[in-house]
Amino acid sequence: MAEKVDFSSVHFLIVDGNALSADLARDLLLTMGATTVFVAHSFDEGLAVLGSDSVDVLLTELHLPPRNGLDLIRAVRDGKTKAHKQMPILVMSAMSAVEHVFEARDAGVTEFIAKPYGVEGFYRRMVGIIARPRAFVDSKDYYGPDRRRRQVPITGPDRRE
Amino acid sequence: MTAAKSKEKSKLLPPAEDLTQRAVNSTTGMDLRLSPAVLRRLEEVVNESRERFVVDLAARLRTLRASMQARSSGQMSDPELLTLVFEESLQIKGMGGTIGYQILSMIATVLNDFVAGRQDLGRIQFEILQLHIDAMYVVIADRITDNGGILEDQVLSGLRMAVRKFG
Repeated sequence: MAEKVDFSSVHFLIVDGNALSADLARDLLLTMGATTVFVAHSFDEGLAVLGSDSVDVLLTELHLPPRNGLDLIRAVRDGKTKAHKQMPILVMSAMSAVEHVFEARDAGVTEFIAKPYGVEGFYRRMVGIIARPRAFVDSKDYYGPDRRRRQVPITGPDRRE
Repeated sequence: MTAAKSKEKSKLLPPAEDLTQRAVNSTTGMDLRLSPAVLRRLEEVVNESRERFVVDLAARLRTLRASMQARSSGQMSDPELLTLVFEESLQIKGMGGTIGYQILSMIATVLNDFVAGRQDLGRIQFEILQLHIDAMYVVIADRITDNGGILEDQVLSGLRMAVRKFG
């Protein structure tokens, strides 16, 4: 029998300073069957929710002036919130230049979706981060999902246990 | 290998399965593959929010126009204007294509790249800002969706060329 994702059993947090964008993401999640979607419009609000409520998946914008979505991702990965350190984190941002994508990846993001986005890409990523969790890397300089997306032969020294 | 070197090694942790075990099943929920019926429902959600987005985008463009006038009359400094244009163009870039105005997002992207990191404006750079804002105004006023047509393509090419030359 085909696998399904029951979004009603997942608690989401959306952090986006643009209220319309946040509302749209919330409405898409509710249409997909989610029942618990927290919405925060700033870094501080988002951090407060992560400190007080049970959140399974974080969706955050990078542009959260005067702070930064990267700091929110690092707070989760560093275990400074109540959330699971390995929680799936999806960045949804118009700051989609390659340097921003790399910064988000190196902060420990699970997936990145560039704004403007289509509903198909949104759905695919939401399903993917829940149904196909990734292995994590714990090192001195990085804690986050394994950044290697492809299995290729190692040509240098193996630095992992 | 020494113990110290061993400690420096990265650890590969297995995927956390608790969320997957809780949410993934074979009876209730959404198929892993997006079905046409669900796609239609999600597109309806976007359609329902389109008018609110258009109203918001128009308000942002009015803010930009007013700020350009404020700068012309000396009531706003270059850094203040550039900060505002960066913020608004980023939001317009993110919102436009989501509701079907891809051409709006493309113009806003060129504008956002143009002002990112910029500290001051000469006469030509100011006019380039004005051209971007006017072009976005036309897109919203005439409800030009998707990538626009030949004319919009030429306008976008012209804006990109101006940015390359005077950016």
